[in-house]
Amino acid sequence: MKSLSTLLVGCLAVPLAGAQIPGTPQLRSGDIPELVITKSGHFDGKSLYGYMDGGAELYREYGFVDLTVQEMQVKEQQLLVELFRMRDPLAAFGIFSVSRGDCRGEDTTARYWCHTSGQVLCAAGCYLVKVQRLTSGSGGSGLAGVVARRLLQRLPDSGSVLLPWISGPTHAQDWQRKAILVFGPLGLQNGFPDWVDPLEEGAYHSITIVPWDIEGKPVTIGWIHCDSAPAASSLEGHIAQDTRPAWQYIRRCEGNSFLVIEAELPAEQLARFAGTLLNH
Amino acid sequence: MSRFFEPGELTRRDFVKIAALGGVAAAFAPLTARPGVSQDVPAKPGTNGKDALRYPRTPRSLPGAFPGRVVQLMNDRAIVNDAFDINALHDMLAKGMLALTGATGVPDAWRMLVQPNEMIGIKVNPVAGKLLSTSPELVHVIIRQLEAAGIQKKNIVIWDRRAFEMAEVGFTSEAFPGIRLSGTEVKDEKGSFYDPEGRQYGEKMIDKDWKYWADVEEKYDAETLPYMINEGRESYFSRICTKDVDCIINVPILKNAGPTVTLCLKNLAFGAITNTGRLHKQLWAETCAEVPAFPPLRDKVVLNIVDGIRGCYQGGPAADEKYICNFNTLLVGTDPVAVDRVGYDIILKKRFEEKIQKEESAKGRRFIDLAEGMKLGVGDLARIALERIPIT
Repeated sequence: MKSLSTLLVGCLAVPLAGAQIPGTPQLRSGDIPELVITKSGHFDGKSLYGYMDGGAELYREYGFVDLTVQEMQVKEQQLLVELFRMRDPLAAFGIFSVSRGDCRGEDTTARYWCHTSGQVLCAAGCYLVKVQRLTSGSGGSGLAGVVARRLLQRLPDSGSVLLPWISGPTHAQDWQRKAILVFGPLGLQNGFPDWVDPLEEGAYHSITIVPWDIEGKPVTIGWIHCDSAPAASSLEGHIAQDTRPAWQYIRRCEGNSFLVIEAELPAEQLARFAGTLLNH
Repeated sequence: MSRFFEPGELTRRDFVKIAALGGVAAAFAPLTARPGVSQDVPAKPGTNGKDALRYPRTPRSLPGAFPGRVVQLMNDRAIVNDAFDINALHDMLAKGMLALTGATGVPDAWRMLVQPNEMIGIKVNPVAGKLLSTSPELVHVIIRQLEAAGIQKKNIVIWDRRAFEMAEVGFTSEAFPGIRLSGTEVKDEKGSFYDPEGRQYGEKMIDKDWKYWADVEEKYDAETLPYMINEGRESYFSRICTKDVDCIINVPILKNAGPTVTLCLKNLAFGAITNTGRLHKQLWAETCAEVPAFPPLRDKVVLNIVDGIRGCYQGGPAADEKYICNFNTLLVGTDPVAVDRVGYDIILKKRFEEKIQKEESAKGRRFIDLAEGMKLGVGDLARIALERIPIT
C-alpha cells in the first residue's frame, strides 16, 4: 500500500503531518517508546479511490466505511498503519480472509491474526488492521506486531465474529481460521480465484469457502448463501454447467443456502463427509 | 467429465439417514443443468470502442514495428542488497533493444522507434506506491539510452494520471533534472485540486475532442471527483497523450489483478483517461482493450517495457508486501498484446507455484482476446515470437 506523503489533501483527512484525527482509534506519538507519528490521513466513502484507485473496489464490495492511515517511525524503522472500519464484523472478517494469504504466525491478541515478515494483518470487531513495514532489515517484523497489538487495545470492540454455519463440526475452530468469506466477484478473485469461473455470473449473498483435507487429499467446502430460494435455484443451475472434474455438489434443500464440495474422493467417503456437514 | 451430484428433493435429515444406511449411491444422481433455470447474465454496457476502428491506421499504429515479437530478459543480479543495479538494468535493456530490433547498436535500435525531434512520453505506473511502482532506476536507464540515441532531455516527459503519486515514488525534478514531469490530475503547492476560480486544474489537462464513451456512470463524492475529473458516461483522454507528446514509451509493472494482470494495456487504458471509477467493475477488460485502440494511444505507443524486476502475483493492483517478489525480468516489445500475453503467463505460473490458483480462469485472458480483436496485436502464444535472454 502506498505511503501518505502526497495523498492527504483533498480527502476528508486532516492533512497535517502527525496530526490526530478526531473520533478515530489511532496511535499517538509516544504510545510505544520512540514512536513518532509522521503523517496521518482519513478517507471515507468513495474517497478511497484517491488512496488506492482500482484497489478500492475490493474494500467497497465488502462494505467499507472509513480508513485511518498513519505513517510512523520507531528509530530507523518506518511503518504504515492502515485501520479499515467496515460495516460490521462479518465484513471485517471477510476482507481479512481474502487478504491474509499464507501466514507465518498467529497471535492470541486477536482471533484473526496473520503475520508475515513484512506485515501484520488482523480483524477485530468492525476493523481490519494492517501494519506494513516500509523499511527492510531486522527487527521490523516484531515491531509491526507491537504496533498492531497497541492499536487493537484502542478499538472500541475487539471481539470477533464466528461464522455460525461452520461452528458445529469437529474441526470448526480450524475452519474458522481458514475460512474465506466472499461477498462478491472481487472477493472471489482475491480470496479463491479457482472458483471465479463457475460463480462469476451468479447472484449470491455470500460464500464461505474452507480449504481442508481429508486423509491428505485436498477438499474445498463452500457454503453458498443466496438472498432467496429462486436465486439459490438459479445459481445451482449455473454451477451445474461447470465441468471441472473434481467438483462434487450436494444440494441443501432447506432455505436459501446450499453446499458445494470440491474433492477427489470416493462417493462413499464424500457422502460421509457431507453428512457430517449437513448434520450440523 | 462432470461429477456433479444432486440429492434431488432430499432433506438433509433424509440424506444423513440414507448415508448411514449405506445407500450413498442412491442418494446421488448426476446433476445436469435444469431446464427453465434462469441464467440471468446481465448484458455488458455498451461502449464506443468500435468507433476506434474507423480511424485510418498509420505506419506507427499498434502493434507497431514488430508485431507478435517479445524479448524477455532475465537477470538474477538485477537487484543487489535490496537495491536496483543500474548497470544490470542498462545491460538488460540494451540487449533487449538489440534483440527486438535486430539493430547492431543500441542507439540505432532506439532510433528505429523514436526520432530526436519528437516529444517522447514515458508512461509510468506509480499508483500502488513505492512498494510496487515502475522503478525510477529503470526510467533513468531508458533516458540514458534515449540520450545516447540523440534525444535531448527537454524532449522527454515522464507522465501518469497523478503527478503527486509520481513524486511519492521518486519521479521528482530533483531526481530527473531537465526532464518534464506531468500528470493529468494536478494539485497546486497548497494541495488544492482547484484554482482560485474554483475550476479543477485537471480540467485543463483533458482533451474533450477524444473520449471513451460507456453506458455506465457513477456519482462521485466531492473528495473523489478530483481524482476522476468528471462524472457521466464520458471518459476524456489526457492532453498529455493527445497533444503534448508525439510518441509514448509504456513502462508498466509486472503485477496481477485478481486472476488476470495489469500490464501494458491496462497501464495505457486506465492511465490515459478520466472518470475511470465507473469502469472497473463492469467494463475492465473492455476498457483495457478499447481505449488503447483510439489514435492518441494506438498511433503513439512505440515501445512497451514491462518492469518485472520487482512485481507481484497476488494482491494487485494494490501493493501487498506478502506477494511482492523479484521476478528479475524485463519484457520488451512494440506489440502490447503480445507482451501482455507473455507477462500473463509469467504471473500465472507464479500463482500456480504459490498455490494461489490451480487452474487458469477464463476471465484471465479476456482483455487480451478483446485487444487482438481491436487489431492491437497478437494474443495467441503460438503466433508470438518470444526470445528469452538469460543474463548471467
